[in-house]
Amino acid sequence: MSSQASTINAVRDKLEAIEYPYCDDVSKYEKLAKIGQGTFGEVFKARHRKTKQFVALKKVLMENEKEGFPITALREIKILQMVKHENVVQLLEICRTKEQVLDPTISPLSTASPLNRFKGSIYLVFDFCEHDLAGLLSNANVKFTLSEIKKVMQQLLNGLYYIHRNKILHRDMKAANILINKHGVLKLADFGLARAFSVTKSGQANRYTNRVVTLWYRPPELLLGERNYGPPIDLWGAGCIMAEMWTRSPIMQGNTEQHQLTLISQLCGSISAEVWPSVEKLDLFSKLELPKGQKRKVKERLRAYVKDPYALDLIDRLLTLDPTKRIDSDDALNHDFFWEDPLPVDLQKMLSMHNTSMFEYWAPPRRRGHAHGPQAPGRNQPANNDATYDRVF
Amino acid sequence: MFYSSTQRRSWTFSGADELAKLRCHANQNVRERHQAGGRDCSKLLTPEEELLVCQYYHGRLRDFCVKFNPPMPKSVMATASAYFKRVYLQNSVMEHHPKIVMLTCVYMACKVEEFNVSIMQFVGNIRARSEERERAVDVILNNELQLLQLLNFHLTVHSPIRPLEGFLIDMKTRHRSAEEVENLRCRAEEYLDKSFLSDACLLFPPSQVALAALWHAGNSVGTDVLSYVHQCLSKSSDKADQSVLLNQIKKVQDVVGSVTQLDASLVEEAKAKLAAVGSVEVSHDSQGGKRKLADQQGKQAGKKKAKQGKSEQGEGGLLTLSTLE
Repeated sequence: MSSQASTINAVRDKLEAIEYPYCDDVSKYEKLAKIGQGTFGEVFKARHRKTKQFVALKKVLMENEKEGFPITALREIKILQMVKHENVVQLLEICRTKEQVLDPTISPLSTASPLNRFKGSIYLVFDFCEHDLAGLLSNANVKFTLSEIKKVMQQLLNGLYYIHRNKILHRDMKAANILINKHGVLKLADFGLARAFSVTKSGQANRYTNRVVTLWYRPPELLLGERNYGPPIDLWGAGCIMAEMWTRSPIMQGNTEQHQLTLISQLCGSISAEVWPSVEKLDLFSKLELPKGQKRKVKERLRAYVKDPYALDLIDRLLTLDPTKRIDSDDALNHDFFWEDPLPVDLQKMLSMHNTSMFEYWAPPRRRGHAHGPQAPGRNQPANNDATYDRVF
Repeated sequence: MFYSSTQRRSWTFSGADELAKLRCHANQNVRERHQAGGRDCSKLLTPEEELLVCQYYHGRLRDFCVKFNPPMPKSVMATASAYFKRVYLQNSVMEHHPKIVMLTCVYMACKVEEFNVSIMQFVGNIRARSEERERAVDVILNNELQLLQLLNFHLTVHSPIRPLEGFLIDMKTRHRSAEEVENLRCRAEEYLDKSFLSDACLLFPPSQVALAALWHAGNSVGTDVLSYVHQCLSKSSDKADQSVLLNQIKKVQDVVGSVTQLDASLVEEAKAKLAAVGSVEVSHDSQGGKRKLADQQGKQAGKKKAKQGKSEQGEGGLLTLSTLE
């Protein structure tokens, strides 16, 4: 034991003696409030102790990672360092906590616990945004005019256009991941599920995990098991969010994947080869029960909320079942919705009427009559035999 | 895009002089700490010896990648090489043992380049007994976070592999026959392999390294690459631009050309020195700030000291992995 103990002490001392030339200690920020909680970890509002600048701190979760630093976090860091766009969150720096030492109770010779290796954590530091869209929509006092909705959607699609042009898929579009600062600038956030994609080479399909995107915003191709998907998956989410700007709560709140597909069919019409020729090739198409004979009622059902015919048309195009026919961000930005009166206006004035931050995490639940929240995407699901796939792809 | 990358911003340097200065500085840091502790500095490695050790382990890194099963894409080796170079630009081998850093760099590169192997699969490539592999798992995972920090979380490496592919495609579409262009590929790729061992990734944009590779290949198979370069640049009819680029290619060739066979006896000498110094560093540190804790845990101080040599091996774990020597 004593030899092991001295071994460990030697290692610890050596580690502590190392000075990291770049990576700052997170304690230079003062944590003020928790603004997000998910299975992905915690997000805090914090302030730089000297400059007084407000930031958001996102902790990188290291538990349960047998393979070390999670590849999803590596992707997030890589992507965030690459992107620079007004409508995408900006990573300011990466910090660590100090107590990054070996646990002296774990012998370096033991093979038992590869977990719990580091006591310290890594934090991603972002520009602070005052609100998220889910928080704003859950507050009845926040009222969006048609022009303001146009501005929200225009910025959202601009952000998507930028990341898709740079070959990145967000894979977790939902109102809570759309941040808006007090100046009215919208930012796509949470790239924890994002990844780079490649355009399929002939005969070589991509095999990405389809267990991404929060259930209520998950497009039909993912629900049917598609693994060779692309930017259209994010545009489906954009369609859900756009409708939500009027309905004020998520439009399709399924409890299970099967239920979600049923809700989609009831709104967008039956999923069939007639409207979506290649759907029969998808794994789950024949295995799941899909409602037959449903008519498409997107415009009809949303008309009660959405009066603007251009808005209805754009939502209809975003919620197209066949991903190859779904409108892309470029065409969506050219849609008449954005170019007919009333034109988009700045959000700053409207937001200036609200002095408090609004986050989904702080808001009462917006959902209607469900005991549980939406089924979270792949990373949140319990480990099973597929876990490797999920982590890796 | 390379132009807006962390590579260009933080990891591309002005020239060999600057690299030498940084490496000397890393060496000097260790010396100063040593001196401050009132210890003998004569046993420490010189910057030259450090470089030799680095080059040796970089060669091991390459061998490990080449023999890796399942076969590893070249981009992983390129990224791992760049990580390894970056680490020892600002750190001394006396602080972080290159054997450990090398494996951790490759493991990290696998993840970053989306070459999906599990840690067990990864250490399966270390030719060693199974318990040593288990230990390697611990060592790699324990050092991962530290490596990330040494790299300042700058993970994306732009290697010359893709630019080379781009040039080959471009040449084919411009005027050459596909066959003629493909003849260049093999030599050009060999050249890139060699460039990974050099400081090229710290000095030049990847496209220039790719162009130098193409140039080299052209010279060795007798294909005129110069006219292609001229043609590319003819749009910017500025003669100065052309000579700047040709000059850059010469510089790349100098840097890549400086990769030579290492003198085995000198390497052995430097490695032996590192082994001796490594233990000095560790035993000193354990007597430092945390002595109280150490004393609490190891009651028999005498015994502890006697075992310190052994414990140093435990630290790296891999220090016993003779197959990696």
